[in-house]
Amino acid sequence: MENNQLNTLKDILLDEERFSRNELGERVDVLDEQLNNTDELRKKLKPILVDQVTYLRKNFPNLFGEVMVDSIKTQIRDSQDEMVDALYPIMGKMIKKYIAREMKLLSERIDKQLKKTFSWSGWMTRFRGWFGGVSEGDMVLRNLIKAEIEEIFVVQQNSGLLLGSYSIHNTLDKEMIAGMLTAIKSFVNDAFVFGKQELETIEYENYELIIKNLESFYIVVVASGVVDEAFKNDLDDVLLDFSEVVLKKYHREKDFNQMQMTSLIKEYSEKLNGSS
Amino acid sequence: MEAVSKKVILLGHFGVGKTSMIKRFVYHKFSKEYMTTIGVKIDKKVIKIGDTELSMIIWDIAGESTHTRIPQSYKLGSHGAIYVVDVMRPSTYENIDSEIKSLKKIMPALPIVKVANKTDLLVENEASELYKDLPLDQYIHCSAKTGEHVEKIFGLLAKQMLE
Repeated sequence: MENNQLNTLKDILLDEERFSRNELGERVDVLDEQLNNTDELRKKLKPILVDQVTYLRKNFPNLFGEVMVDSIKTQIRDSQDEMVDALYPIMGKMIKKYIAREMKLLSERIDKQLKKTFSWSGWMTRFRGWFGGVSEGDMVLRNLIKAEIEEIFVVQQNSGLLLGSYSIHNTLDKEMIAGMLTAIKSFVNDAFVFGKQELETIEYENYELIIKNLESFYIVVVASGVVDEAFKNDLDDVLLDFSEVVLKKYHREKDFNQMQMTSLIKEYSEKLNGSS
Repeated sequence: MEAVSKKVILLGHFGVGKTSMIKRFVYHKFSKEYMTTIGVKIDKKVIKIGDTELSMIIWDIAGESTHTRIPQSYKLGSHGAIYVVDVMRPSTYENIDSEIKSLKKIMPALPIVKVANKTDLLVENEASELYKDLPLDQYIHCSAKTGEHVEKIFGLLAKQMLE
């Protein structure tokens, strides 16, 4: 009897709390469902994230611009050598392409001018060209002595160590030649201080030594005959391709040795002599 | 057998015998005539160290009263150095510590062998007396004229470079 009265009293007193507790329980279940169900959570978060992304997109330069600039600056400063090595072949090709196009335009203008000019020798050359089916420019070039690659040396900067070489003759010890060429380059750099400049050619009677400088190594091409701009142009193309290939191997392949380098140089030299 | 090339530079005042040491080491010759080196002369000697065939590309650099007067580009990229002094001329080793220190500033990991040349000019008693008075204990003594210790010096540097 007493128990019944007590339960009735409890019902009267705790009815409201029980209702609130049940309601709270149901809300917790809903929240639990929303938090643990990925699809539900995604639905809820999506508008917030979209807002944040839009905000970041709009304010990215203000929020992170300074940090990004500092980070890029540091990266560039700390890896200058790698950057120069990586950019050299790409920049070289771009510049060459531009110059070649400009030269072609110039050449076309000169050709036009020449056509207007009346001269006996000019007519003779032109007649020979017409009958032979070749252009006047080619006719003139054919009269010149072809340039030929005699030797190529690929030498490490500073140390002067020979990385690889190619020669159609039996010359002196190539490692000593590489050392001496490096010493000559060093001498010129130290003797004539005109800022950061490099020795690019050495002429020796019928021979011309053409030097292409890269950050980690330099290439010396010994050529005989008439080394004209067309030849140098072809040479530049081949050397840029060669540098690109060698740089990749030189920096990435630890076991890339003098023999492999030498066979690569031979391949490119034959390409050059074949095209000249 | 593995083939390796290393650049070796010889430093020291003029007339200490750098060229003679190289001539002795590479060509097994000695000449009494003194001909000053102009600029740089390159020589090469291949030696075997264990399983390695080492090509030593030796840069004989013209002597100066201090190595700081030598163009830096001659020294860059070196794998080893031999600093030569003349036992008979204290002026060639008086400032050796500061010389080595400034060299180490440019190339901290460079192995350097210090050599006191021309020991053939000393009479035996004189030599022991001289060594007592002068800070020559840190040097390897040699004579390019007789060939004493020349091979040993280059061999020692070769080992240090391959370490």
